[in-house]
Amino acid sequence: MNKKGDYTIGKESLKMIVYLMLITVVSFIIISIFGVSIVKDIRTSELEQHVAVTRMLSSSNCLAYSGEERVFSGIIDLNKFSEERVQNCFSYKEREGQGLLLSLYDFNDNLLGEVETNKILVAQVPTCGLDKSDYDCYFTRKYILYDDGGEMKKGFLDFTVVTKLE
Amino acid sequence: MNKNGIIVLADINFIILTVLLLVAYIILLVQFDIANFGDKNQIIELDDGLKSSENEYLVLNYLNTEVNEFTFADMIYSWKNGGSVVWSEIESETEILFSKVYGNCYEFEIDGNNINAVIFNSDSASCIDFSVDLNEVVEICIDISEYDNKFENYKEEECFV
Repeated sequence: MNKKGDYTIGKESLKMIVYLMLITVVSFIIISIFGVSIVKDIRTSELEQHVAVTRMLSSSNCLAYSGEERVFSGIIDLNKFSEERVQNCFSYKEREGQGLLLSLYDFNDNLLGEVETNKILVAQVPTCGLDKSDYDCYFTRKYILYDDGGEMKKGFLDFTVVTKLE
Repeated sequence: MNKNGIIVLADINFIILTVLLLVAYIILLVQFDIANFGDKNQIIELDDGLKSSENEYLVLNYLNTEVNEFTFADMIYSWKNGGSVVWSEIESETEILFSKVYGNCYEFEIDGNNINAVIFNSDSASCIDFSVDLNEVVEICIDISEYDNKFENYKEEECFV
């Protein structure tokens, strides 16, 4: 190859650098465009709400009745139905991010007691149904048995769990 | 192509770069499509499994509920093992129990027999296996999703009309 040819290759190499820069810029633009359109919102609020309800019903540290040797999951110990007990049943992080309202009724629909944790969050319940609400609520009524001084009685427990959406 | 072959060299570089760029672009597009990232504001919700376990406790409580000194578990055991309890007895007692709590907004099924349901909606049901023999279990399912939906919208009274 002659001198002119060398010069030409050198010129092409310079162009390569320019092309590489161009590719880099184009790649960044493509990634940025995709990045803007990707909004991954993984909502764990429902999962957290079900965890709260399940824990209330199944853990002896929460409301589940426990005998000498075993825990009777699903059966509520009336002596455990207190705000302090329910609060201590959650970790600090859960307590901060979740509000819980429990209403315990006997089988004749008489309110036996109500327990509320994180009252600021529970107060947001009316906003839950709104389209742009920052809060997600879960409502459910569970048929339960509760231990009242050694006697097993029928009743139901209403759960309202409020979670702040991230 | 000219005599010096300069344009050929430039063309080859251009073609290679264009092909590389196209390949990179296609790879990005394919990844974008496979990962299903195309939808704006895509929301991935995690929930179900635990809702089912919540209601399993409900069925357990049902089985432990006493009716005339027998539990529902005893009654189902007797019914399936040729005892004195007949299906209609279990059906009526179950209806009395659950209609008090959930009105008509529940569906219940024991071993394929529906209570308060024409066709049992298994999609949102929670089920447990209840052993009535060493070799036999009956499936007991409940679905209270209709009640929960109304309860959420403060319309649970509609279940008791």
